Amino acid sequence: MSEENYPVVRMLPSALAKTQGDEPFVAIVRSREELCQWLGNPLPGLSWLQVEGILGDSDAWIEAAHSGSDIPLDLILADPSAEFSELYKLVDVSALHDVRVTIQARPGLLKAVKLAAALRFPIRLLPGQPKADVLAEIKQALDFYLHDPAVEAPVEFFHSWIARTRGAEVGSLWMILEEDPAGYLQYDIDGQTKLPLSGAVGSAESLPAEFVENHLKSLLEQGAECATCPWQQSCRGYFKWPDRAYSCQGIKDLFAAIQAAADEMARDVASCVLPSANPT
Amino acid sequence: MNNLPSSEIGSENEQESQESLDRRLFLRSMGKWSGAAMAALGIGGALLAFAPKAEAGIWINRWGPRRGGWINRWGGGRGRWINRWGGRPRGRWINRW
Repeated sequence: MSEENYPVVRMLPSALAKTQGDEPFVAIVRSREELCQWLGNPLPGLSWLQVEGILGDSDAWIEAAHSGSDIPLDLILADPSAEFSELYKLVDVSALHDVRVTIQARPGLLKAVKLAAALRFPIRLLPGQPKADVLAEIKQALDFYLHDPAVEAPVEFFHSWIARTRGAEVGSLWMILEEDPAGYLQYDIDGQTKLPLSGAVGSAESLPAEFVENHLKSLLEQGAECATCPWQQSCRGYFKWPDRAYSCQGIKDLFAAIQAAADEMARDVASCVLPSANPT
Repeated sequence: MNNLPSSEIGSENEQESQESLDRRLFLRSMGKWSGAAMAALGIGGALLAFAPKAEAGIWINRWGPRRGGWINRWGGGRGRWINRWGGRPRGRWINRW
């Protein structure tokens, strides 16, 4: 089955999502009431719930832990330094629901990554266009993901980036992070499509499948550093959005570090002489 | 391999699985790499067998076709990680790594 045959997942505010049918969608909930409504009455097309701003609401999680459905939950940590300590509240609910923690790359992200990983939650780290201090934390998070023996669950986008080095077809960074309108189309409360990351309402609906390619093409035409970047095929201008003037030097170092780790792991594997491969 | 009898194919698969497990144990004994990183590299029989063939849904692929919409969207090209992670993230999933 070709990629084109898969329908786009629509990411909708809760009120708008109630009008959806069987096509796959994600409902964005921002209150205990919305969360419990969806858990009590999930529509057929509901793929998962994106939960924002209610991590600290203990009663919401008590109710969710005893709900009748097992809809997966994607918890958004918009301010990781302030919210990470609340992750413990998800322990009970994770016995019933699959839980992922999505962390916006902001100061304090490393603590959130460490705690979420300790709780064995998969993580999606949304890098955006990180400043130097945040990028330093992202690199620390990479080191933690690579080497801490307690990390068993994926930390994206590191995880898929390593897989890509071994030939896995994981798509571009936009897709890995679920921010490509060709796969994930975001809507605002008025039903207008939003461009990824920026929140700008606009043209994603008209050509969602071409948004990323058009963005990259435009960058190349303008002589952006993407033209000579060795990671262009995988990144496809992710870090040049929305600010096209963002300098990717630190990002390139990060990509190189991931590649180096993958290569080193491959060498370690090659150094393992198995009995079956070396018969006596 | 397609010409091999099924019994030999099964034997090959078992051998590959054992070798993959051996490599994983070897790497683990080195103490350098996390289980997640090893899995990303395909060590342990995980990713190599169920590498995502799609350009999306890394998270959702893992969780399995829990509802109708997922099956159609992720079941073929996009959902190779479904099998890897199983229906429940705990228990089976942890033991696997």
